[in-house]
Amino acid sequence: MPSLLEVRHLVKRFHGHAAVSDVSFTLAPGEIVGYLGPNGSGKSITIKMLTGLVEPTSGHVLYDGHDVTGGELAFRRRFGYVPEEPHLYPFLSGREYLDLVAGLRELPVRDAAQKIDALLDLFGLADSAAQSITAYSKGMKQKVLIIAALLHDPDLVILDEPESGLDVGSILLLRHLVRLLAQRGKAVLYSSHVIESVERLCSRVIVLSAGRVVVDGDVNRIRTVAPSGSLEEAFATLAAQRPDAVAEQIADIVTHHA
Amino acid sequence: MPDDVLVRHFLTQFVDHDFSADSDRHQTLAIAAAALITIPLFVTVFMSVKYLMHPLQASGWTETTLMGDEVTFCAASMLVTAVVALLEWDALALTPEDAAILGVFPVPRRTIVRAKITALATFAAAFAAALNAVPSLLHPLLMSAQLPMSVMMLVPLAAVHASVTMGAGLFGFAAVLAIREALFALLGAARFYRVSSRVRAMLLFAVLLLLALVPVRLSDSAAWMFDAEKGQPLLAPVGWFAAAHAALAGRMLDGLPRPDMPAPLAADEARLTVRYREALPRFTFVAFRGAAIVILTLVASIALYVRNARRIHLLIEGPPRRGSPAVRRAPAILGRVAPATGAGILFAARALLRSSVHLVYMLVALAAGIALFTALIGGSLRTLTLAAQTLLVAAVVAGFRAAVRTSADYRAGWIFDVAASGSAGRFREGVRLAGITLVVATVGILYPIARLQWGSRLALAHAINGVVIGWLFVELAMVDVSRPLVVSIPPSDGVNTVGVALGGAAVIAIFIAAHIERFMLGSTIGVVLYPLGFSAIAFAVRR
Repeated sequence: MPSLLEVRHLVKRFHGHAAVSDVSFTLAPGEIVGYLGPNGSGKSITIKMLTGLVEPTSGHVLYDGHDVTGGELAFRRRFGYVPEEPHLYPFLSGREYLDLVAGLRELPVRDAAQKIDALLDLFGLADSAAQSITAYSKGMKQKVLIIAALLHDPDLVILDEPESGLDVGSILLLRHLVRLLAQRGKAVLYSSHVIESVERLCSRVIVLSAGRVVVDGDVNRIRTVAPSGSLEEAFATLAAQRPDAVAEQIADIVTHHA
Repeated sequence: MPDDVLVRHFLTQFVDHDFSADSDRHQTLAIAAAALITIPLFVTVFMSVKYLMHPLQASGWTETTLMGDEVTFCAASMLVTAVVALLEWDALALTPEDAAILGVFPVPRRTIVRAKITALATFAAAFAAALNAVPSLLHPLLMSAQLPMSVMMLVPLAAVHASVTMGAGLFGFAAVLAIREALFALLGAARFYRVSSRVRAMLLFAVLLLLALVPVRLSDSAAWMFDAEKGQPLLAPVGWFAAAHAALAGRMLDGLPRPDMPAPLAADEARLTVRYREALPRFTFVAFRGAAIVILTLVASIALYVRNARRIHLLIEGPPRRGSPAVRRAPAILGRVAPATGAGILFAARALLRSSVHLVYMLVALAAGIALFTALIGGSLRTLTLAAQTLLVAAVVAGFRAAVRTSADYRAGWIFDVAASGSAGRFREGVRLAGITLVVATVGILYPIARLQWGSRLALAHAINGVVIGWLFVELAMVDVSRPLVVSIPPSDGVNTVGVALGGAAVIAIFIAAHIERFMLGSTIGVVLYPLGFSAIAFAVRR
């Protein structure tokens, strides 16, 4: 299948330090790609470069064959994005925030209002839709962000830690939703620290370590990296992490008394 | 030492609140610190010139003239400190955030409360001291420069001035705290947090309006302080502190020898001295009564504070708000305009009314505008009266300009980068329309006043002129703002020089325009041509 999104040799340097060294991958319609990596590996920066929120030092982002590096307007109309941090305007209510997003995306007012009402209801936010966002829990804010990302029926869905703060029921709902969206032809980039979600949802996984792609392939193939066949251990191996040894050192320091 | 750590933490909270965004916090604090020195310096010198220019200055004249200055200093100190307390409204008490952060540590509640009260007292005292330091040193020096007294006498005079003005400042702070805590005790946590921001906005507007009226209403010789029957209830708190100054500093000045003066001047001096001496027992009584009320206010605010803090509320309980149907239908009401334009109008309205920083900009502008309006408005059709409406509209648009040049929340602005797919121009158009709506609303509120004074025809013509000039102001205010409410535009380095010059030029231009308007209102063709001319300019600026 031809790729919808193509990332070519993205590099981002901050004051000479490379946060992302060389990241390349593709994403096809109907595909759910897991985007994994330890803290500071460059996942969120890559995603911000994809969405145009951060200018890459070098490299290109191609959408449907066109160079959209820096977040071209036509490209922005086609993707939905859930950021890692739920920063929302605190003086707005959930509904008002979604009205704002619908306005900025120039959705017809009546259609948008119906869609917002229905989505707020289905995400369990109808009762709190008029409350100020400051009174929202992290999970409620996350739901508002998910609705905002899907309101305009995007072809490409970029989710950065979408399960953050969600309860179990909402996580299951999100997973079903992501699967259904992929079945309906949407390309989904799913960045997460929750290996279980990636394992259940994604057909392909990209693992980042120190700003580089260390593996890009089928989930089952990656599992073979670990002797136990667990994706969790495979991830630790690929990201050059030794959690057991580090945990032992931490426990020693915590329990040590002079 | 958890006390010290907590006090430092709470003091930092007072500085790091949402009025100074992370991106420009140092600049904001530097400007505030500079203003705290330079504005009192300018005001003190301005107010003290009359002493230096007075030939044969004597004690009686000084005592009575000094009363007007002290009333102004005390009122300004009280109101500015009250404004600061209102800006810190949420940080005054232990918040649910404090409970969430500190509640998990093994620190007794009373330690937290004690630290918060210490931090509050330190902050209020430090601010009142900083605000009044320059006037306390400079005003007694300039005021007594021509009096026959030793330099050593300056020390008690400065001490009295500092004590009285700082006391007024602390009272302003304590009064706001007392109001907040009394409301909390009366309403309970859930209801209080629901009405808190509205109460704060109303109080802030009232205090800012009073502050803006100080130069207009209190710049006379405070004759009412010498006449027991002329006292006004609203001025009573200022009167307590001014009376204390008159009782303490006035006594010192009264004992000074009088210079040799011509007979008329000597008679005048004798009359003023008698006036002061006759009023002295009343000053003493008023000062003691004021001291008792101030102590009572302090005790009440601390008692209420401690009572309210007996349980630090982690969660704000209460039924969910449904939101008014009008708010829900707002996007549909604006259905005829482009969705992004509608979003701009609504976002601007919500940010200006609900975002603390933006609301403060609007309230400051409105208070200054109303003060100017009340100072100039009069019965007949004069240039000054016609300029009053334009000055108020100009003040409102100045507040609007400051607000749209400030990000509604720089962390949440990412949504504009992601979702504003080519609609940024239409969103800006919506914000511009919100500004014009603000102008129309302001002029609409003033219309009945003009109608009462000049009749329907002139009032309508004047209102149309106000809207058109306001439209021009909005166009000018938006000229260099491409992403209103999304990104902050820091003030230029030349704001203190170029800004003052431009402001002065704008006021002169407004008076010239009012003069022309007065002439134009005399003929039908003038009534038509005047707004048309300004419309053409506004249209050209927009282009």
